[in-house]
Amino acid sequence: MEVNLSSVHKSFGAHTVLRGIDLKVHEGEIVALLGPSGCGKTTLLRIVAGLETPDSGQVLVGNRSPTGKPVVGFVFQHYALFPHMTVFENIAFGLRVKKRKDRLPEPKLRKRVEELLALIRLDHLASSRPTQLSGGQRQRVALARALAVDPAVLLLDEPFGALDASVRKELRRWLKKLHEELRVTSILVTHDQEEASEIADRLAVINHGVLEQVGTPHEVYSRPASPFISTFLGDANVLQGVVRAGSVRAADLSLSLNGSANGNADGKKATVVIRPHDLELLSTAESAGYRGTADALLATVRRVRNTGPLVRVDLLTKGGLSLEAQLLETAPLEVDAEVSIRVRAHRLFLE
Amino acid sequence: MIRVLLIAIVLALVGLLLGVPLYVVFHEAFASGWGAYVSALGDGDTRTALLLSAIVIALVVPLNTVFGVAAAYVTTRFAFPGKRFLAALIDLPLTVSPVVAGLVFVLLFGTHGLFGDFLERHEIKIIFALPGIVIATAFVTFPLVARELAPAMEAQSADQEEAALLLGASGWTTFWRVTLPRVRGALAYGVVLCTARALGEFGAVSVVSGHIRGSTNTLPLHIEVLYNDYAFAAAFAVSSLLVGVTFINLVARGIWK
Amino acid sequence: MTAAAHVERKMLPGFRVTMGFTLLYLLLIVIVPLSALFGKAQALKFGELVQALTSPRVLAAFRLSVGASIVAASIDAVAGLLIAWVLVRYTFFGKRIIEALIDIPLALPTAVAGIALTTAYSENGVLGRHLAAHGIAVAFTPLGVTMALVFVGLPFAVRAVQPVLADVEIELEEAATSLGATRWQTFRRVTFPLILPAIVSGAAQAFARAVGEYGSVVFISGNMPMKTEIVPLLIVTKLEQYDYAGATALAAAMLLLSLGLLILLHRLQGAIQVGGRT
Repeated sequence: MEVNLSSVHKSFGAHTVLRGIDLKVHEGEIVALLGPSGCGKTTLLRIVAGLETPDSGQVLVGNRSPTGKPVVGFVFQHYALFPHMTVFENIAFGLRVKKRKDRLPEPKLRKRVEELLALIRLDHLASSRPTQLSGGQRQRVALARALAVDPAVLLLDEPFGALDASVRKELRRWLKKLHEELRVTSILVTHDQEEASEIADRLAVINHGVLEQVGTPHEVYSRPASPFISTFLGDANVLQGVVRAGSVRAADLSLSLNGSANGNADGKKATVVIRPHDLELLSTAESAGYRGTADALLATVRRVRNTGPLVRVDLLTKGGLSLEAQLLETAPLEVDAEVSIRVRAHRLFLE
Repeated sequence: MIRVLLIAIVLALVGLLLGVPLYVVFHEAFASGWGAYVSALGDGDTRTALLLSAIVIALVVPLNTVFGVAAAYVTTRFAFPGKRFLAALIDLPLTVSPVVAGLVFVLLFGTHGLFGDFLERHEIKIIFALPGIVIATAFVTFPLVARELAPAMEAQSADQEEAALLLGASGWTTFWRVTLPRVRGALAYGVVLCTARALGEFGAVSVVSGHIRGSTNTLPLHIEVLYNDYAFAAAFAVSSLLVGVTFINLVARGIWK
Repeated sequence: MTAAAHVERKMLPGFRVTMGFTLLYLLLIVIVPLSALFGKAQALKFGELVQALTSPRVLAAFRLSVGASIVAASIDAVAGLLIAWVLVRYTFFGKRIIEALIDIPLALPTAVAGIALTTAYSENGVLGRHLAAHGIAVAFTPLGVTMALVFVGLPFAVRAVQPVLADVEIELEEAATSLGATRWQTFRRVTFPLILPAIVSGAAQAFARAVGEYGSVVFISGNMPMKTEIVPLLIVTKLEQYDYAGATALAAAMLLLSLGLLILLHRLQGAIQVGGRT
């Protein structure tokens, strides 16, 4: 079942949390609602679940509005498992509270729960209490509980937020696999862009209640629609510049307009975003070839950090720009050494 | 809706069960007019009872406060075998019927009691006199200060006290300047509770006091005497004084909790 | 960090002073008196003891005291749950006043409560007259005793449940709702099991208080032997008649009951803390 949000507005008192959200989630896909804390993504998720009502706008799950009835499965960040019930009973809960006519006969119910336990690989813990489980195990039970009622949509609120980094990675992979198997329409809320990029088919980036961009992880990363998105996904050097005579200038850096402006852009302010891996450090020989063009800049090395496979270099150009470059490997660099740098690619946002 | 219904039921329940007695006190106190009210309060026996009650709290509350502080300090800052037993022992008077509390002191100090002969020979009167009332009241109210202080002290780690000690403060200084000020609120509330309870104690005092009008009657006992004499308006008039204390107690609770 | 910085709790001063004072006080005020009670009770011959405890009048008093306390505690449990629910889940005009009123039975001197309740429930009293119109007499009957005990125990029932109810994670109820449970199903299957230990604890506390209560009850009961005589009053009566043996036996029985309840309550407190959240 697909989810359709149109012009969803929500305020809590004087604080506007969501401004006119339009989003369509297709049948069987996972969309990640991505954004910094407080951007409204959890509120939006809860609105889809029927746990909150929007001030205006329409929310359609399939072709019915959600009212908290079991059209959706909800997985909470802190699991919300019922502490006084066993794992088995937790998963069975949704099946047990169905109206009499919809209820499964007990043997069928047990079988369904056992299937789910096998799916999450926790058959051996069926009679344990939630307090006896680890965080990762609890989250798997929470997921099985939500899936038990055959939801049309699965909603996950920062499901791995409360877990250790290694467990998080493991569960991420597991969730992705599970989704490929079950193909339930899912919406995932997270502030972790790595997680979102790994799991989701599409990302919906929200900032201060506004939906800034929707697209595949690759699209959003390589063609961010705003400076905010470019810094939120991956590292970025953000520079403020001005358009002059057909190029954008920022201190001693001069870059092409990339066709993103027509001729009358002179004098306009612009934000330039350069990914650290798009900064090339040129060898002396290569610099020779570029001397005389504004593409290559002189800069001094301020700091070198070897973090595993990458080398991060902090640079200060002659014109006073602080830039960070990311390289796979490099000839040994010394602090205060002078290097030539070239910008391989950049993105431009005009005022 | 169910919400409105539940709120209405609760309002009715609380009003009927808890509000009515308060209303009754004031309604009856003034039933015979303002003049009768004032003269009831100014009556000689009433004033003696007031004085006796005042003496009792002047003795009981400071003693129990010191105990409460000591007990709270020792149970929250130290670990020792039998700590849980000690804590339970401190809680004991709260579960004991006040009549039983009074009785045990009669068994100890009464004419046929354990020390009865000894006391008679030396002409010391405890039961049916002030000392008995003080001891019985102390028994019934002594957990109150400790029970308010203990959670407050428990909630605050001993770090600040250790810091003071490392800086060279003596034990006493640390106690006065670091420990006590941090639990000021809990201590004040504990004292209010203890005072209110001591003023209002009836069962235990009833057993040990001998009901001698004009000499061993505290305020609550005096109220009983008046009531049994059918002097209802006077009984409620004196009661209204104690209700005043109740209000102070409730306000203090509202502020502290 | 120097070695001196690793200060063990033992370096906190005053252990001996405070421990000593605490023990001394406890000894004088609690231990010695209570031992005297048990000592005296022991001194009684077993036959005397049994006789003192099983005479018809005593049994009637126990039936009334314990019976009325059980009924009152049960009423308090239900009323307490209702009141706690409304105070925790809803906001409304006058809520702060209600919060303060709940503690009245704890703050009001028992004698004052006793005469006020008697007057209220007597035949022409504010409450009594409406009940009398339907032929129900309250004052000077076991019903009156029960109503007074309901008054006395209510704060315990409310205050035991309130914090536990407030602590129930809202997400548990949201999870139940998202899984399709109706409001009643959510209450019955999720919320209620979680607060049940607290309800029981509150009822037990109310019971413990009620069974030994004197001042609030002695006026409304009328104290008719075999009919409306509660155990605490019977103890006082026996004392006045110099039946020390009888009074002691009764008091010892009451004390044992108190101790038993104290242990039960401590266990229940443990259960409340264990049945926590995920």
